[in-house]
Amino acid sequence: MTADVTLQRAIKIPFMRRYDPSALVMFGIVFSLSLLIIAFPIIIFWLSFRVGRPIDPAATYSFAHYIKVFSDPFAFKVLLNTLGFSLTTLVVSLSFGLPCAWLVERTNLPGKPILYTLMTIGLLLPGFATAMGWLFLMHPRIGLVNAVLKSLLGLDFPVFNITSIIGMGWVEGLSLAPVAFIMTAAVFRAMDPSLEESAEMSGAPFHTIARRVTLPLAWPGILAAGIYIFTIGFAAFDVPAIIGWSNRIFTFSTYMVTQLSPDDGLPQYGPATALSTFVIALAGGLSWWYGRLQTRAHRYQVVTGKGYRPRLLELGKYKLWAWLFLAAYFLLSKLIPLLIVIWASLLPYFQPPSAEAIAMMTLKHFNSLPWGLVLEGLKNTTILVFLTPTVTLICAIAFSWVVLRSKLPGRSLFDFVAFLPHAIPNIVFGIGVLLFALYVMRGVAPIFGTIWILLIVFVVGRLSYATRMTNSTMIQIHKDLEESAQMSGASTGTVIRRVVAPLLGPTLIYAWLWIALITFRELTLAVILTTRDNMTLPVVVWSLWVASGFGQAAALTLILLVMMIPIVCLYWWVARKMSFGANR
Amino acid sequence: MIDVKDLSLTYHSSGRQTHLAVDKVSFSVQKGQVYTLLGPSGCGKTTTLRCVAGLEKPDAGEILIDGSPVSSSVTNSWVPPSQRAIGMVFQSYAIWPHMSVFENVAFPLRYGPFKVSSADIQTRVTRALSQVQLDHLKDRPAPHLSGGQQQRLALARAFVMEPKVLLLDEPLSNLDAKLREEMRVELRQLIKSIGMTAIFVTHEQIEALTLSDVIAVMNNGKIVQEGTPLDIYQRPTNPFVANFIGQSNLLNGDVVEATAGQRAIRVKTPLGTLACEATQEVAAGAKVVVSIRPEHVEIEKSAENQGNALQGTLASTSFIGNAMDCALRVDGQILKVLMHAERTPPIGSPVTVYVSNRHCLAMRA
Repeated sequence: MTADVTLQRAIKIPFMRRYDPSALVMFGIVFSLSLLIIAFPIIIFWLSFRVGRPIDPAATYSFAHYIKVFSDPFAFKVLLNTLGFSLTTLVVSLSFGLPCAWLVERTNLPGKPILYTLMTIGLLLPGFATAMGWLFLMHPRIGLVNAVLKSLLGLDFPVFNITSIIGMGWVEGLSLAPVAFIMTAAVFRAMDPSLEESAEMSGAPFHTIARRVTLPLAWPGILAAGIYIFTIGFAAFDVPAIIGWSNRIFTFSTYMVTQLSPDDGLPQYGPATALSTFVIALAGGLSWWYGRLQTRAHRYQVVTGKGYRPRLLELGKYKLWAWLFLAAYFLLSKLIPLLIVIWASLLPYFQPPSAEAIAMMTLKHFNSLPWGLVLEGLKNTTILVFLTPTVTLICAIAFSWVVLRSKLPGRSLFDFVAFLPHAIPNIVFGIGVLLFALYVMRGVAPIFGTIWILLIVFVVGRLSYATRMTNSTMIQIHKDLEESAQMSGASTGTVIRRVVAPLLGPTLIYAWLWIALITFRELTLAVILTTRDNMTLPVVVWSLWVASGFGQAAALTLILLVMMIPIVCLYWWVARKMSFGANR
Repeated sequence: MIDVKDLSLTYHSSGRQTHLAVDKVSFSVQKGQVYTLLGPSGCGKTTTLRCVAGLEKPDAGEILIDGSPVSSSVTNSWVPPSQRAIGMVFQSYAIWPHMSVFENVAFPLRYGPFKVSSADIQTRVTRALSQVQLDHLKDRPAPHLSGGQQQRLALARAFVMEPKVLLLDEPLSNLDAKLREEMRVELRQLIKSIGMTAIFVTHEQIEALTLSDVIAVMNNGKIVQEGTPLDIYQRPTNPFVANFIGQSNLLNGDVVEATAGQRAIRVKTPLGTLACEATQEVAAGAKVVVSIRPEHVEIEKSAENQGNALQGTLASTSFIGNAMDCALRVDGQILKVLMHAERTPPIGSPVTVYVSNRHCLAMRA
């Protein structure tokens, strides 16, 4: 019958090759993106040794940049600042995130799903928004709290100073507490409760169990979360930029920006690349340690596949205290800073609340916004908000397919490459893309100053998250489902479109929305790569702030937040619908 | 219809460890036959099947379907699985959960190598579904089917494009015992009524014996014996087969008497010297294994079985429903014997048992 016809006209390819065109397309995506990801650190490494104009054939190689950076007292100060800032961030975020995680996973605290959602959505609040709030709140001169305390207590010095390393670490720590929460909650959830129960049966009191059993078991996971937060803190831009910049307190990322686009003179790529190389090495070391901790966590075998329902601790009368603690966190990290930003946006100049201040309230900052620039930024941001998640997820599917489904030798290497943007601070990739555009792509495709360069670095930056999502879902899709489609005669492309993608569907929607939201508020990467022609909305906020238009910056931040609300609601709805991610 | 020649495949697991999963396997399946690859897990049967499907690429060897090579290291050609037009039923059924019953079956017609008009899709899917008695469920979401229904759906999907070859990878192993028994018979009838050539992989000997025209028993990546179900059961030529199919008492022995051209030999075993039938030509002095099935050991003497009489004591019994599974101690050796439950003497009694010569099969060790 028909079968005879088919077999005769069947495509025959050489025995040594077994992939069809759509598979080759996926290999192409994975290969080229991997090359890019690896190229960025390599370019940085290369230029860090190159003295003279990089493209000048007369340029030589030496350690000059390293010697210059590490003998420069200012650069050394920056490193110390960054270290102090990231450590404070780590301590603050863990002291809020860890108790929250324990309360949610191990006690009978009511309202857990809401807490999960609030924590996840809390991550989306841009750092520059809360940083503005805290600056208005605790600036030594104009800060609201300081002003009130000064007049109340009759002091002549400020009580709090947010424009310090500890102050900035406090603000960054508050905004990273959800990361600590999400990562440590996963540790508590995966822990076999019978380990604690057997301690209880041995007659140990609660605090002994916590100290001797729970914490030691959770330790590798907590430490892993700590390393991750430390890395984020190390490269954080929003908070040091908003709070530290105008007060000449620089950390790694803000220092980088001053080197790459100084107020006077030419960009200093030498010191920037040397310092970046140092940070790559540091991140590499931390990742290696992180990897070892993960293996040890597996050796402890606290992570099991079984669906445990741990017995929950009765909070009883402590329930109220737990909720007060949580309420305090949300007030400090979200509500109060936001209210202050609203307040600041409505006043001609910032001042503490009073009858006269209320009388002075005005919409002047909203009306005086440079609307041409704002609309231009909105256009760019909108394009990126749609393109970034789409392109990222297509690439992530290709990566997951190659790593999990193809039989390419050495395929797990690609998984490692996709994980690099997670381990190395994103700002380093930003610098890598910048140099790549300037020195490699210059003659080929002039992407510098366009939104395409932003698209590339945004995709690279989100690839780790996206591949983690597609990997974990694709592992759950039984391989037979794809192979049976192949046996039905479907090409690899059809298998991906008709079987894999629909089954990944919910995960893809969820991840798409999350990446879209992160893209919408992304400032760090955009600042490094922005010129006059490719400003995004957060960059417009930043440029207003730098130009001392504090009220205008606050106003635009509010507009930005309001625009995020519908996507956040959609995200919330999807997450609830899937009972996935935001709550479980 | 299907010819497999010298197929080899080595798995490279982590490190430098390699595992020869399929070792120069050759076999042919005639048109309309149900050919079974039977063996314990890890024997290479599924890998062989996946090579025929094209889901694994062999290192060497040739696979021909209807005379044309689909995978050949000789002529250096390879047809991707999607172009082979082979129907396949997976162990997990691999029913796509995001599609309806109808859409699952229509998939091969829509996206497969055949171009089928949508009117034809309608009629062919309906016909396939009625062949497996699922036509009344065609609009149901696929995950809402019971295990047996999913199994039939997987089958309908595999044969809807009228492939010349059907591959079945342990299709019954996910069903509960009662349903498995029903489906065994039903499956064979269905394959025969459609007239397809099928390769069936299983580790269940009963399934293999019921379903197959030809069985190939595999062990360690090799086919150790090929034959009809009756042949394989009654005339195992290999100790592994004798032990894997049914139960066997395996006794190591030395040939003490053999005549060239004659099957009848005498073998010295730990139970004494037995009159046996050789499955291969053996000479006196050769080492052999004698296989005696527990159900062939009799407690009543007859003209046929009087040659081999064994005296022992009944060591233990266990009731297994249709018979009594007994262990007889003969010269310190245990001989498994199946007795009628009501005729089993009490434990410890002396018993004399008889085995006819043709049931003492001697094979090369």
